[in-house]
Amino acid sequence: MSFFETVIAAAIGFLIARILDAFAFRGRSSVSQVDYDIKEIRESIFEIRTLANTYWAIDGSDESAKKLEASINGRLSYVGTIIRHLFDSQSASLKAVETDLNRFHEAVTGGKYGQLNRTPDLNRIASIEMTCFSFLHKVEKCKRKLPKPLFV
Amino acid sequence: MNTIEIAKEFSPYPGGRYPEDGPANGTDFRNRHLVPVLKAHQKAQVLLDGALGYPSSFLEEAFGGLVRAGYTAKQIKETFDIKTNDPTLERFLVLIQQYIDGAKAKQ
Repeated sequence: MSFFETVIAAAIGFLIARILDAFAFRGRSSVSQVDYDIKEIRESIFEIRTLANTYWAIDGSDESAKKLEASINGRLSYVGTIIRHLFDSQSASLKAVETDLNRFHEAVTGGKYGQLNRTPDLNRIASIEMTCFSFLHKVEKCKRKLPKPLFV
Repeated sequence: MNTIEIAKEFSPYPGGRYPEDGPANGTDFRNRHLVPVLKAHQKAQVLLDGALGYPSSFLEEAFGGLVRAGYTAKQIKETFDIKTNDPTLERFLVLIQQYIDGAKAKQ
């Protein structure tokens, strides 16, 4: 095979790989989009954690409690939306991540959440910490299972 | 079959367990929308669409509270077809089933 034929074969091979890659990954998130989504999840979860720790350290009748609830509810909804978008094509990962998100959700908004007559509950803060980091670890683990395009 | 659209017929911002916690609490939702269906021996679809989200305490009081009110988990599951067309709200279907089954275990 001449040098010219080798170059042509390599070019055709590259072109075929590129087309197959584009076909296989059409509609899916690029690496930078995935990284952006993961960053958004991480930052939002840490915000919820901070808000929730403040919330569960004060009385339900405290004037800031309802505002904290609104902020927590909004951010939890946002995280759920990103999770769906990110893992929509990977049903096993989506189920695993949503299960851990539900555990975090239960730790943050369960029990006497929303009750005006509740008192501070420091045990719940421990539960929030545990489920928060467990959830983030699951997100990272499932991120590694996302298919990666050959060409970035 | 009747459809109970939580966001339209009750509140797009459900929250709290008891009436003193606010107008969109779980007890009021249960007593106004779920218990009458069970009492009439009818069936209903419960649609989660349109709400921002559902705090666990609201869901537990609304659905787990039915078990504490004397209805069995089997009755509740046969009476209500709980659905959503919004993929981001699907995870709440799992939580609701857990609260119905969890409240049953307390009996």
